[in-house]
Amino acid sequence: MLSIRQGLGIGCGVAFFTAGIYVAVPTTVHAGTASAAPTDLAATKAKTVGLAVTSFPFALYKGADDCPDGLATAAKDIYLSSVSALERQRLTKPENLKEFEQKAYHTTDGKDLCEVPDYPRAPQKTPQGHVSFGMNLDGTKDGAATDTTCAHEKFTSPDGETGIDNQTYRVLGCSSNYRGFPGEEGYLESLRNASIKDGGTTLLIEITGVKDGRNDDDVTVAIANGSSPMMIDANGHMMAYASLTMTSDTKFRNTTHGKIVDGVLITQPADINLQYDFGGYPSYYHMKAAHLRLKLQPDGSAKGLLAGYIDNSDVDLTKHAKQESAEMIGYDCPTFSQAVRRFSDGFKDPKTGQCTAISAAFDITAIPAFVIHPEDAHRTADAASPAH
Amino acid sequence: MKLFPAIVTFGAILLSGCGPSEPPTTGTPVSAQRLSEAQYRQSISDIFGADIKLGGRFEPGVRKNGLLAVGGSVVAMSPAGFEQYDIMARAIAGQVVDAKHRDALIPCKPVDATKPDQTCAQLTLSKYARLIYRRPASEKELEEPLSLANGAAASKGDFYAGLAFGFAQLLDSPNFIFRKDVAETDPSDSSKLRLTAYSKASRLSFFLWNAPPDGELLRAAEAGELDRRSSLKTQVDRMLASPRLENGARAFFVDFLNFDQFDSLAKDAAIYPVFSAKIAHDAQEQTLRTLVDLVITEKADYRDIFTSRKTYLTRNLGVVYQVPVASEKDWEAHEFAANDPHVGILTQLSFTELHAHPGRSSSTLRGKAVREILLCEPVPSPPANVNFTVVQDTTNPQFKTARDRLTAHRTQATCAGCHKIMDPIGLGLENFDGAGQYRQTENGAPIDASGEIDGIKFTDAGSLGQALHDNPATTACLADSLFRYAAGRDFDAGEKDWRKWLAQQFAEAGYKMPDLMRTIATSDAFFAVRPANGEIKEAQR
Repeated sequence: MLSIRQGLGIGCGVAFFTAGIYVAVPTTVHAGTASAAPTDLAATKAKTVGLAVTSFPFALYKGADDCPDGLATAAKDIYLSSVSALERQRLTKPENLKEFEQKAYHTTDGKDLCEVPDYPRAPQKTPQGHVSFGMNLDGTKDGAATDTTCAHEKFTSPDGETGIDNQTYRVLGCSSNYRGFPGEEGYLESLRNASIKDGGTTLLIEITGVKDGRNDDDVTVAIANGSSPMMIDANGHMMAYASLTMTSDTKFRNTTHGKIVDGVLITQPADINLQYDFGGYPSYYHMKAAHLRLKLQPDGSAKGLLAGYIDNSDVDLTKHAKQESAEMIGYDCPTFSQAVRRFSDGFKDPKTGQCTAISAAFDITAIPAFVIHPEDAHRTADAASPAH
Repeated sequence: MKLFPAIVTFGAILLSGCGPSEPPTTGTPVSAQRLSEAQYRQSISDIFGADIKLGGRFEPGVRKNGLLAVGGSVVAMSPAGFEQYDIMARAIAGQVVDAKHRDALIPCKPVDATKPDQTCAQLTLSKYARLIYRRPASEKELEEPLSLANGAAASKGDFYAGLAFGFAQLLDSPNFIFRKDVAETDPSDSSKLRLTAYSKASRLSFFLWNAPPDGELLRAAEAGELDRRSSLKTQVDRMLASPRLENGARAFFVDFLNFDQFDSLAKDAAIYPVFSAKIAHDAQEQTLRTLVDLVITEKADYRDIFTSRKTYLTRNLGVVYQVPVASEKDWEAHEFAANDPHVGILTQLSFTELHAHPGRSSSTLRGKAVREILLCEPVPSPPANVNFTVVQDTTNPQFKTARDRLTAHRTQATCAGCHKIMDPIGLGLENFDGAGQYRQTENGAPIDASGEIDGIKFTDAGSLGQALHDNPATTACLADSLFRYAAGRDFDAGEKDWRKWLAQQFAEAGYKMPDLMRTIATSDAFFAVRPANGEIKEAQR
């Protein structure tokens, strides 16, 4: 049996916000067809809403005064700050670059800094503000330690929601490669988002059992990687209403339940494992107790947050790196690694008392899509199809 | 009991003879048609195998009265065009004799591969000349390629290199590049001509298969079976039952629907970013698959092409039609929902995007296409001094929709006459923009897709399709066009009765296209030729 999940098809001459660019998308009001706006779903049989994610950067609030101590420094700067002015002058001469990098990237006994995460370092410069995007993940008002969480400072969201947990923002918020320079997206974020357009990463959301697109007390939500690339139009924009195949790898097909309240999808906490391409390398997020909060727009697109706890190791990539490469993206391995552990706030190890995961939130922007299950996508052409 | 099949057959013959007999036709002077690119490619594939690669470019065909097949009989070849054929011929010949293919394709081995071998060269070239010329070659015709093969083999010290020259000579021949009608005196009436059996075989195979005659058809020609009606019908029925019929039907629809225009189709990417070369390719293929499936495989009523919701899609097309396509790589059968605006071939991309401007839709071009292509009703060209400003300015807030703009344009008396036969049809397709995407508004104003065709009013593309389905001109047009395509000629003024008879045969067959193809292929008119300038030429056998 073919089980095509149909996306929302609605609106006339609407615009979808895709990767920072407004794209005109054709109208699709097919009166009475299976495609229908969320508001039209009431009193009809259950529908399926398909979405393709067009960007998922870390949700990092960028207030003007967030980093009063400046941006996080990399190993070279840390090393230079530890030596005399005369030595600084000598080491920064081109002919001494090799010596400089040898000293800056290694411990005093010659180990690569990324191999020594506990190497003594001053704390990483982090945001000092109290505003952040995210969700209340631990259920507390004040971030006090619980049996399963570690003490941390809560944020208030830009629209006034209190109790926000987003310790990843503490770690990354003053890193130039995430924060970006004024008016620019952080390099690492742009790299990850570009992988969606380039076909390296496809993320799909499928909401099934939707009886009422505005208010529905029980829907099933799949958040999964896709195996087919996003479709791109002649102007380089991702196209809505593409048929995209969900991965056959069950590790990256996550299912949970949720509800729709006033057009906003809110899911129950669930473990969500996703794969993404990071500059050509497969990378992963193993999220725990993750919630999706997604506003389903009348035009079929959606925007919201995916928030949860990410394994420390998924954020702290330095253990897989060499300081030479970490330097290029502005990391000092020990400083960063220690920051991740210092700010991690979830999934406390009962033996060590150390939290093993860190609260985070991703900005999710999505366009309507037809989510195809792999068993349908890989079947042979219909037998009735003329042979050519 | 044993007699029963014979009785049924006899009864069927009696019944088939009950209808009105075929009216006489004048026939046309013998002519030659240049092989189309598809026919050339298919010929090489059939003769030497599908893995033989073709380089070079083909000169574009000439469309005459709506059909390239008719223009093909009047087309000339430029020196540059012939040069391209020669390049292809040499490339093909080189592959035929190369180490990879020679064992499979060359029917004999030379005594010494470093020297000419008259016997093997003659056997080889004689065998392939029959396939390349679509008839046996005379000894005289073989002299030159054989001499070339032997001479080159001697000078190059390589039998196969020499043989390649012989093959190239055959492939360069007008006997291959052109489908030359050859006539002979009609044995039943010496004042008349008739096509030779081999010429009949070529006509049949290029019409029904868009390919050269196969071995069985050449055998039947050689045995004189194509000159006998019953044997001819046997061969036609065999060809109609072959899967290759799809190829023939596709070739007809490519020509009939003007799909060669896709080669130069372009859209403004800023306005229609959804358009791409891939979409254009898939759009053609979608319609061809739809048509072949409907009228050939399903043997449905031809008129259903205007009302059927069944089609085939790829994922690329699914984005434009905004429907799911499960299969990642294959074409997939799809049936648009009963309330989906896509119904019939008029709402397919191959029609809506082909008959539109690069940056806007065009009710006029679409109406013109319906008139000229589907109803066979020529529309006069616009006068040279027409002011199109109002129509072209899609940003004028006073005229938000195409209907508004065309209404203003038609106030010019010189334009009104022609536009009234095109625009009311094309306005029915205004829900599809210049790239074929469905829309309900233009510049914020709701689109009124109602219109009228030959006195029948419709409200949208779906009911326009129904109006065409019910319009007798569509089936008459198809019958006329299919005959003109098959015979490669226009009708003479004196063939009105024959056209009427053909349309009647089509109607009696329930507008089933394979039956129409059978009627044409077995008709006297299909093979009818008459002397040019009163001259009767003996057949070239």
